[in-house]
Amino acid sequence: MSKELSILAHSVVRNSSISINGEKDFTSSEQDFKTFIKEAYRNYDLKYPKFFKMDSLCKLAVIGAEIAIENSDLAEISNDRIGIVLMNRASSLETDREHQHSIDDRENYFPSPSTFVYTLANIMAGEIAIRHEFQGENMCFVLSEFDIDLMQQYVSNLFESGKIDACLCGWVDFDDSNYESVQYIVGENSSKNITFDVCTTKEIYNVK
Amino acid sequence: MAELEEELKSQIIESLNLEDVEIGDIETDAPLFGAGLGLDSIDALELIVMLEKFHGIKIDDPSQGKDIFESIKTMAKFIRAHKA
Repeated sequence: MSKELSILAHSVVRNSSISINGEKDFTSSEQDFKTFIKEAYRNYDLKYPKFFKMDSLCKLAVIGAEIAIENSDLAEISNDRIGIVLMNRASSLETDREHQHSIDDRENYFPSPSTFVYTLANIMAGEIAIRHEFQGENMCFVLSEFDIDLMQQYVSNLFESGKIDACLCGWVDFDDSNYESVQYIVGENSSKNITFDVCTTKEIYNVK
Repeated sequence: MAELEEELKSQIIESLNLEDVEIGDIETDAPLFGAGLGLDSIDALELIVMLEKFHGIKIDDPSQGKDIFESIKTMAKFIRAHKA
């Protein structure tokens, strides 16, 4: 028998603005991503110095996740039962380019280890897992667009197989200053009664 | 005399993206790792690159790093000895 799954909370970060559960929560007049995301960090008072060492993709993922997690009640769920499933299009391309630039010139060849460690898209899931000590299943898909049907099927299967009791899901993409994070927490109980289905997820994703 | 130490503090803040740390926050004698600035293993690699990039010193034996990068003082001492 299928489990009744709900969306416990969701966050959207795009166009210098952040929404929580469909309500605008933070807006900046700053169009530059790096300045905007630093403002968001201060606004939500993360107190996590490691944030500043992350690349842009991970900063975007961590802020979006933070807000969704803070607005979900996961206190009763064991950390090894909380999964992370994310998707994006550009993988870690922004940081790949930065690393490539640092090794282009053989006369000025100083590849940065702290840049190199972010040349994988799934590091964003890792950074969220480290921050929140989530130890459940995690997966990162690189696809041409947010495949909501695949996400629905994959996450539902994780619940059905009994591997997780909650899951952070979403689309987190960053490429050449274009960015978008849509993240949501799926769990088995919710007084808010937002059903986890394809239609609802599309509505969350499409809200501008 | 302390010019190199101040320069190193500035380079570390920039190279390691220590956003909330200012030059005055780093004590010359304080440990850089562990209880000090709380640097990690990736930061250690970044310090090796920093030494080569800004001071032209290549560390061939990474095991030397523990002593060299103990503090700003030990880094400065190593650089001066290398350039003498």
